[in-house]
Amino acid sequence: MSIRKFEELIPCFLELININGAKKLSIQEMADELGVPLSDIETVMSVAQANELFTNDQDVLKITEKGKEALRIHREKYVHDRFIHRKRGIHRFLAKHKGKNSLDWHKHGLNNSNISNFYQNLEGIEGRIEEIIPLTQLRVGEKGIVQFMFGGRGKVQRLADMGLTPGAEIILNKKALLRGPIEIYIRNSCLAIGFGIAKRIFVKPIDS
Amino acid sequence: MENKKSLRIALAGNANVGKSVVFNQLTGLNQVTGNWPGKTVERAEGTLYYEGYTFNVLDLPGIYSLSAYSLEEVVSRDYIAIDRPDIIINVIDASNLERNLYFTVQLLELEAPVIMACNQMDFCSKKGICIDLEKLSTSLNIPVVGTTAISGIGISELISEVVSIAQGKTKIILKPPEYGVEIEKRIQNLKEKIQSNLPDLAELYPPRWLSIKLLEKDPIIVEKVQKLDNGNTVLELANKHVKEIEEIHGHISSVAIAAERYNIANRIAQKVQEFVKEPRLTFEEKLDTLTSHRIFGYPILIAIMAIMFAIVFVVGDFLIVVLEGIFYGALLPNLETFLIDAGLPPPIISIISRGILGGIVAGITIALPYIIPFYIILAFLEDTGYLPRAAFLMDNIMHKMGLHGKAFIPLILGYGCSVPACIGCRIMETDRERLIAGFVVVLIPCAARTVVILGLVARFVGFGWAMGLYLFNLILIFVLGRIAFKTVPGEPMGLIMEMPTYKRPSLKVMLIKTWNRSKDFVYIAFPLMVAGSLVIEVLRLAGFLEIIGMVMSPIFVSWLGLPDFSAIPLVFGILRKELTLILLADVAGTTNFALVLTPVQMIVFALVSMIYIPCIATIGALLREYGGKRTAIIIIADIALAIILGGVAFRLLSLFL
Repeated sequence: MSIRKFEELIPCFLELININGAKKLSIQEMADELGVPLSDIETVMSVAQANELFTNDQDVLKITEKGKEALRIHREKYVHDRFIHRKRGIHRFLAKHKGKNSLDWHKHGLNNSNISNFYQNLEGIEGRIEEIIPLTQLRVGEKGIVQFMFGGRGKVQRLADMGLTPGAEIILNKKALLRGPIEIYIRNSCLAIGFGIAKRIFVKPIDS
Repeated sequence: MENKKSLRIALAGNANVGKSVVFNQLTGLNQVTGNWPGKTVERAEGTLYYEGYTFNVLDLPGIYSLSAYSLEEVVSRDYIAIDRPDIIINVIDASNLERNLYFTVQLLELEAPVIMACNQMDFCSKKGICIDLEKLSTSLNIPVVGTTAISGIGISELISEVVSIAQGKTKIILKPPEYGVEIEKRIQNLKEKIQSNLPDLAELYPPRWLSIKLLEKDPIIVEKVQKLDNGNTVLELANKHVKEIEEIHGHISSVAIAAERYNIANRIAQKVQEFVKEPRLTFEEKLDTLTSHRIFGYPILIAIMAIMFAIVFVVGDFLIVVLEGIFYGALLPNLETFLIDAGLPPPIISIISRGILGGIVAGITIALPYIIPFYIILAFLEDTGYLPRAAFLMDNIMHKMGLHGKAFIPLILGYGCSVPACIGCRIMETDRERLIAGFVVVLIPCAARTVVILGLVARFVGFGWAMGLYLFNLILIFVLGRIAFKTVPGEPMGLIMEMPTYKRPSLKVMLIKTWNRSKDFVYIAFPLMVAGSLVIEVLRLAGFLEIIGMVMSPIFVSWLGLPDFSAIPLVFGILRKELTLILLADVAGTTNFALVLTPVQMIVFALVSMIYIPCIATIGALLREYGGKRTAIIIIADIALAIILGGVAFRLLSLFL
């Protein structure tokens, strides 16, 4: 197993422990969930345990403080690289090969208090971070559950006032051309949301 | 409440629930509009006399929340908390209960005496929703009246409910709904701290509401508390609780509290509403799918706008011919002979007939015939719910100018007349957006400027050139909008807009709307038109017009390449843009402009009159909306632009034509 893949697998593994909580999950089940061979999971487990990322108390896996920190960094990086600051061209190359990766949230118009709010939001996600997508990536007719909104206090408040609170169920009704606005069905009424705002609303798609 | 004879009533509720319809039903046509002190938020006030009572009714702007992030919300909550109206009628849309109850919960938090008017009951049953008003009333602890304001149903019940409160027969219990235990515990804790430490502030605002706002980290309330002596001890406790709430919920406190409120709203809505049958909305739904379709939506939008202008021009032209026949053919000449017979000296006659009456008559014969049909069509588009669809489709393009889709609505208004367009810029959320939108809409060629473009360029140079001017105008607006977007400080806002369901418009409501708007227009524009005509007439008699022509000649003759007599029409076109063409005929002594102007001069003339200062009525509207400094900036920018572009166009066009 290459080093890169290995680095990616540890956080995924931590995510799994995190959502399943005290629930027992066999190694085989984990391997199925992540779609990797059994041997990989075993290696990952031993490395993670050696680094004190989780504790194994009679087969009940529990994430440690250190593990939580690792998880937070993983979630932050995931959201940043995937959705907030998608790297293209030379930047993508540099990020991949030189390890240059700016997580400078101030550049994204957030102040210190917004950033701590954002961390709070990341912790509050129910489920694996890999399941979370921005509202704009939902397909027409698909259902989703709002997880968190990314942005300044005023913007987030405005959305919450319109009913986009964490846990609210939405259906994507329409998408306008190109990067146009989207229309969602929420709390018994329709709401139009501009693309710029919609891509900062993170949802977990669910099967209808 | 003791038996008072005069009561202040405020109407509050979400946008688009029919508040204004309720208002009109309560007050009849007795509506006057005014401004909040120093702010551009309009409120409507009216009076209702009933069984010896006088009710002063105030229509608050439509809002979704009482947070600190928009001007309307702050103004409304201060009005409710500090001015304390005797009764607040919370108008809600019965077919959209949950979102409306979210606002009701906030009104109750303010410990205001609330009556609920559960409006649009007819539409609600059409949607197959049945609402138990009795249950709604007991779960909120407030009186609830079911209304269908558009047809006047339930209004008398609403009034008798108000009267019964005024007589003290119905007691309003001020009991805000409780939150979940984790948050409620902290609210109570903080409330006690506020009561003991900040008695003065607790006198002004309800202490429980203050605690909620502190937990939400409401910037305005936090600042108020900070300034007080014991404020910091309260803030410390508040911040501690905020941290705890955020840890429990995993989201920022204000979102957690919003979620709690929606939980309350949802719980009540579930309890009182029943979906009895499948909604009968297939036609409206099909219409919605078609008109906001990602591809077909655009040709439909263009077609609707084209039809709109076609109707406005056909009806307007017809009315102009009729009205001109009446005024210029019969009334004015008779009046002049009457004045001459009365033995008045000629200068005074000319001041009266050409100055005062000329202004009024021109307003009636040229402006109103275009504006009234336009208002009717606009009311139709508004009442059906098409405009939000247009805004939805255009959001993408408007973003390139730092605006969002909603700005497209005043932009459409701009093609009719710049005055309602300026006022319409109020639908934008922030001051910054209002300014950019205001700057852009005055550049849209209004009906009057269309007269100049069509009457001069299309007739004498060619229809293609006139269309070219329109196209150039659109490009110009786009470029200027972009420049304004980059120079005006602040962050652009995104679109968040409720999409109303299509509804069959009521003719009566449309006509009332048109009447009020036309009245508004007459009040703003007519005094200016009369004053302007008077000034020109006096100047003309005193021989100043030639002097003005001479003074302006370096710009007009050397730079713009126009004949010297064209300065006067352009300068006085400030009064009304179509006046430039009428005065041009006057000073040139002919209506066949081909004899006195070259094609290039005609295009430059039309271009300049299209761009330079908006007419005086628009300046009035700009002053009202944006204040003196910003209006001055817009005027100067427009004049400079017109002169620069006119000169460049003269030089460029001379190469081709």
